[in-house]
Amino acid sequence: MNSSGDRVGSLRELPQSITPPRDLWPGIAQAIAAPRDRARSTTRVLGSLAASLALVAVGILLGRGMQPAAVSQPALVQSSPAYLQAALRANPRFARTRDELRREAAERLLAMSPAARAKVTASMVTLQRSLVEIESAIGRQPANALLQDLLVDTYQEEMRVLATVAGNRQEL
Amino acid sequence: MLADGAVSNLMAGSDSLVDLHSAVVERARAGDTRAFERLYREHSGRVYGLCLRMTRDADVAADCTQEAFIKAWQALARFEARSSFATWLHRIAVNTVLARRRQPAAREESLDDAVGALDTELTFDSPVEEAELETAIASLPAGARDVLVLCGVYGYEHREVAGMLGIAVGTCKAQLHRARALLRERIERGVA
Repeated sequence: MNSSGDRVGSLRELPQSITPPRDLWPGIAQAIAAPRDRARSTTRVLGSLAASLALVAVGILLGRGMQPAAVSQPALVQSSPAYLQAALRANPRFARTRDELRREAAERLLAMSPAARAKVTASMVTLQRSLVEIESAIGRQPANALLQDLLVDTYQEEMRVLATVAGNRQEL
Repeated sequence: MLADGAVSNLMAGSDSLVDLHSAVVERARAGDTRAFERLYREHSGRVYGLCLRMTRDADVAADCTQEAFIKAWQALARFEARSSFATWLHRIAVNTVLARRRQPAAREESLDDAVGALDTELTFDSPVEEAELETAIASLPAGARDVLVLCGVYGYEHREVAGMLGIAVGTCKAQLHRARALLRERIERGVA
């Protein structure tokens, strides 16, 4: 079972965690995928709506102070952690794609009804607040891998939202 | 995306890690398989360790661990956020192991419930080789072993263990008493 050779003085000193002999996640992922796929067909519409709502807010935020010439340097990049900014700078395709999506999304926003635009704005504010809070948390715990994952996830979510609102279904 | 409250909780200072874990659980509840994979990565070792000690078989323990996580995913909607996810998950794992054994919960030996409150810790006069101790635990009868593992190794209280195993608290105490005596005896004899 455990042949580490360590000596212990009590049961509590035994390791509670033992690494499984193989990675069990692939089997778990396969087992849980099917039901979720079925559910996803129902939730996809709602998800798209939420994404659309969130994206409209991006357009609102962009439209608020958008200068066509300034699009190449989005405000989001300026507020991103240093490592993320560096990553974005190192990947001009990512930044360019995001800029294009933002422009397209902003155009689509203009065509939306005021009510839809308001909903999207509210959702997008939430998304932006999430980013700020996560970045702030990372500032306190720079080495926290889970926080970094959350940040990346949230940026990816933003990109999905942008793609949805812009009418571009391409996954990045 | 993260729920508003969960994200805000990230700002809760010293509790931020706990809140972060809650946020991941919330995301998994919402159907995020990546979040659930994080939970698997974080908890699989403890769940597997528990299953391994209860089943004494690496393959069966791996199967039980996998099955427990699948059941957890299916039941996540019923998980109450205010309770401990780890405890909830361990309960599912214990149920999975017990179901594998195909033994009725009432099979436990009828031992004296009046053993009294026992110290769930078991210490040794001199340090014991870890592998020797694990082997001695594995040699215990199933009922005694389950209680010893849950109480002694994982630190659960009698009430919690009794609930997990479907036995009376008194039976749990009696089983622990029996397990400790057997374990001491086997270690002294060098049964391992």
